[in-house]
Amino acid sequence: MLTSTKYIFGFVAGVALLWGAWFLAVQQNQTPMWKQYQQQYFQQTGQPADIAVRQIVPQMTGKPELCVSCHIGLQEISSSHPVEVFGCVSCHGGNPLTLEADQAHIGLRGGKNPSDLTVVAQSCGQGCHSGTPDPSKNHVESVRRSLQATYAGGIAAVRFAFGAQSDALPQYGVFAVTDNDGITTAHGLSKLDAFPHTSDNPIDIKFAKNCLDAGCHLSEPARAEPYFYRATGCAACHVLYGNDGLYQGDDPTIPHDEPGHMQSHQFTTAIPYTQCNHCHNRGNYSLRQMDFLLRDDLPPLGAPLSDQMPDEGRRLIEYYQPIGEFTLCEWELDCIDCHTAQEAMGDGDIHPNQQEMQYTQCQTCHGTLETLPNISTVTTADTTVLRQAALNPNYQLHVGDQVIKTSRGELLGHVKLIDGQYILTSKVSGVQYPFNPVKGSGCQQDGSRQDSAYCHQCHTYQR
Amino acid sequence: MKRTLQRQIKNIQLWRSNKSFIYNLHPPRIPASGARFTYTFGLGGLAILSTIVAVITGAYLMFYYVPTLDEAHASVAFINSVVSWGALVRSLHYWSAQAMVVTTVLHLARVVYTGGYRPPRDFNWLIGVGLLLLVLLWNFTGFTLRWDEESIWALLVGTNLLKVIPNIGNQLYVWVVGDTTLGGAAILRFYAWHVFGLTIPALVGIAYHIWRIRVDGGISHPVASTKASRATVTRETLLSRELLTTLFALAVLLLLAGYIVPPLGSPADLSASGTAEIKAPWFFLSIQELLRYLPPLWAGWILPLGGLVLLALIPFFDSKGGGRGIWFASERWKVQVVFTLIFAAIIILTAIAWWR
Amino acid sequence: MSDPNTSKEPISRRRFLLWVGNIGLLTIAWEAIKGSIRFLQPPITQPDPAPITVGAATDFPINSLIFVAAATAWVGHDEAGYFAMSAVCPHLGCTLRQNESDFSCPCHGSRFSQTGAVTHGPADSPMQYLAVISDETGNLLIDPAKPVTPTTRLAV
Repeated sequence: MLTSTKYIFGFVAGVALLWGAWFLAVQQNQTPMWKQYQQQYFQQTGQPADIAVRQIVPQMTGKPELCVSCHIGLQEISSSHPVEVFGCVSCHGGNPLTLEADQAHIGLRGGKNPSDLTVVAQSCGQGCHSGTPDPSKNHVESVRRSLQATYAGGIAAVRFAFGAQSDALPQYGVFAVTDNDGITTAHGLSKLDAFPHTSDNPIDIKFAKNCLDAGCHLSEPARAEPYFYRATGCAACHVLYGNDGLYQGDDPTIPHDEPGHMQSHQFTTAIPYTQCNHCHNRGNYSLRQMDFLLRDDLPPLGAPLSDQMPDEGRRLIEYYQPIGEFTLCEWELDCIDCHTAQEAMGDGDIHPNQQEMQYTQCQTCHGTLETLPNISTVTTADTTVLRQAALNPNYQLHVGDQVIKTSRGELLGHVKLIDGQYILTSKVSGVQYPFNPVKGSGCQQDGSRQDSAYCHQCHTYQR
Repeated sequence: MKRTLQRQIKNIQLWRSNKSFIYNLHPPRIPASGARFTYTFGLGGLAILSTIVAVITGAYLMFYYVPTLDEAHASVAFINSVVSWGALVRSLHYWSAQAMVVTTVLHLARVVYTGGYRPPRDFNWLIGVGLLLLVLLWNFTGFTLRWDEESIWALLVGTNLLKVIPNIGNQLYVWVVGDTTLGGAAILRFYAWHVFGLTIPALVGIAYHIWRIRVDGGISHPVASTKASRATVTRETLLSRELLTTLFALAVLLLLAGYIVPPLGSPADLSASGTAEIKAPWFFLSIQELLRYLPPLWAGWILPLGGLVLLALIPFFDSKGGGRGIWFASERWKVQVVFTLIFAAIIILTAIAWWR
Repeated sequence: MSDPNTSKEPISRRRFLLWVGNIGLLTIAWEAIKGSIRFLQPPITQPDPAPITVGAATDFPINSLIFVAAATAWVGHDEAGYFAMSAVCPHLGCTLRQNESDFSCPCHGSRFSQTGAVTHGPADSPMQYLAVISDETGNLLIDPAKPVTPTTRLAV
């Protein structure tokens, strides 16, 4: 080779340039996002760093999934949906074989929430929670037809009151839904059409704006305000959100200071009143204004409660609105201790209004002056109530136990008759509440009045 | 004894200058006028360098890419983010491929403007035009292997263009696509073309093209008239220039590959309506633009192929006279003007399509 | 003839710079080779196989030795309980064949006794026994990742 100055200069410069380019190109490759997330996780949890590509191979698909390389520390969603069996992709969709966020999240069903009602059939259906021979297991169908999803009664009542329809029979739901597997109740509807968002009737336009788009049903995302944070679809109840909407788990990809996230990546059936109150007890309807008036004793309109306030005091203020009337047990217990699975998730029929569906009253557990509460002995055929008990760690149920049976045939596995004593075990706290039936007590009720407003006349808790 | 052993050891050094392969591909002396950097800008050599980098990085990618409908896109995403150095290898492959097209086209322009197509180099010119076509097809087939939103439309339009050819169109479509519609057969076929079907003729063509240069008397250069213009350089000089150019070119490729990452859209879905802007790969943008105004047979076949045929026939139109080896020689003005007009038209069409 | 490399003359600046340049090229080449090796290292591999269900305990009556393809093993049942013998030849991994009174390998001719000991052939270690476990519903599973001694049994 030549040894001229020009050549040697060029040669060394060329090699140096090549080295520089190589070095810079390599730098660009070195710290992908997934490594940064893992570093963050190990720092946060104080564990020795072990940065590596992580995979799970769920039994359902047999194919590797790399999601946990970034989402390291995310809790298993529930013990009945174990990660080793289900993995991530069977519920969430997405691309499991890449470590780049935008590629991985292509095809994610429902964004962060695969239980959103638009995608719930693919995520949770597929022969698991839909289309099974046991109707009480087909939650995908029941919930989509339930009032919290269809809002049929609200839509019909307001439109009727303002003259947009000639009777109070529901024609519209939030989305179109049909009941094609048989109507079992007296007033079940066969279908609802989707609410006409393109209608030029000012009543419909105002209703859509003030009520539908404002978050009053399961398909609508929550208002981004304290006490309102929740998911849509099944997760609206079964994935707990804090009143502040902050994430409290260990997944490094979810910021801890950004409101609008679940508290933790977990299903629960022990749903506390705070979760129901992300929609309910937030204010009052004004029919005249066709609007919803937020309660002003709590955020967003009112001042936040002090952190020093004891839990009992907090519960007393937060639970019901200032105008609310309630008995001691309605305050001490959580909503699901009284309200049944069918009331919340529907019974498979499309019902026209809340009055049809919400049937739990005081007499369900306490009976009347003439009759003791209806009791049934649990047998192996009562799979629904046994399954509900198995999913809730706060109370136990065994074949042979005697439990309350509601007027619609639902068994309340947490309300038992043990050795002559009625005991309710809270589904949320596990605390036991022994109680007495009306019959044989000093109650002076008029037997023909069994609505709770009547019982409140004597038994209202004085705040 | 010791000295002979040392000498023997030195003799087996692979880089001993008068025994190496690349060294001997070059003639011992080259006319200085032909070896100047500003004469050829080393474009032909850069095209070969780009091809070598593309073939090597392509071979690496073959260890992970899966040419099936279900896994094509996923395997590219896998290479991009999971395989060690996968992103860099893919990026190098992409950039060397684009460099290949650019240097090939510029090399072609250089040959036109310096009259390097004149006999006896007319046959080599034809081979070169064929190589241009192969390079464009190489790039196009590689582009579609991504199987993402962007490339699926290009593949759809490109293959549907086959159908507009009268009489043989539909048969040709099935032959190319491997089925009556785009699907797994198309990926597999395009993969086979990209990896082997086009590579074999391209490698053979390149080898012939290089060999033919020596047979025809080396790089075409001005006819020597004075003693100064008869000056020559040794192959050492030429090789050192080539080595330096290689080093700088590789550095540029690495920087491009490191900093500008080739895109990867969401998996191909022909039922979706696609993104707002569906663009052909950049080297076919001029054809995409033409397809907006002219009937498909004209925009997709007659004009482009006609252009190629005109290119191929250049030595026919200008086979003798002066001006060989001189940039923009006025003796060859007709060919240069026609070429410039067509080249400019293609660039303008490309620019319009790019900035829509 | 004096060899410039062994003489005591100082290396010329040019030679030194050339040498530096060459070393630079060699280190890049070395980095590229290292990178290529890492590139070819598969980032994820198959996990260890999970225990495989081979059937109900009642499918394997006493004194039977039944081949289960899913686990590539024979499941046996003697007085002491259940056991499993891997059908993977300990020589180079072919699947063994069960004959009248012994096992044999079709690839290189190894032969094994009924209890798995080597009687002939290039194999120099006996057939592997695998752990048999049962689940709550009375099914038997083989754990292919857990080799056990030939006398290990799952008690009935």
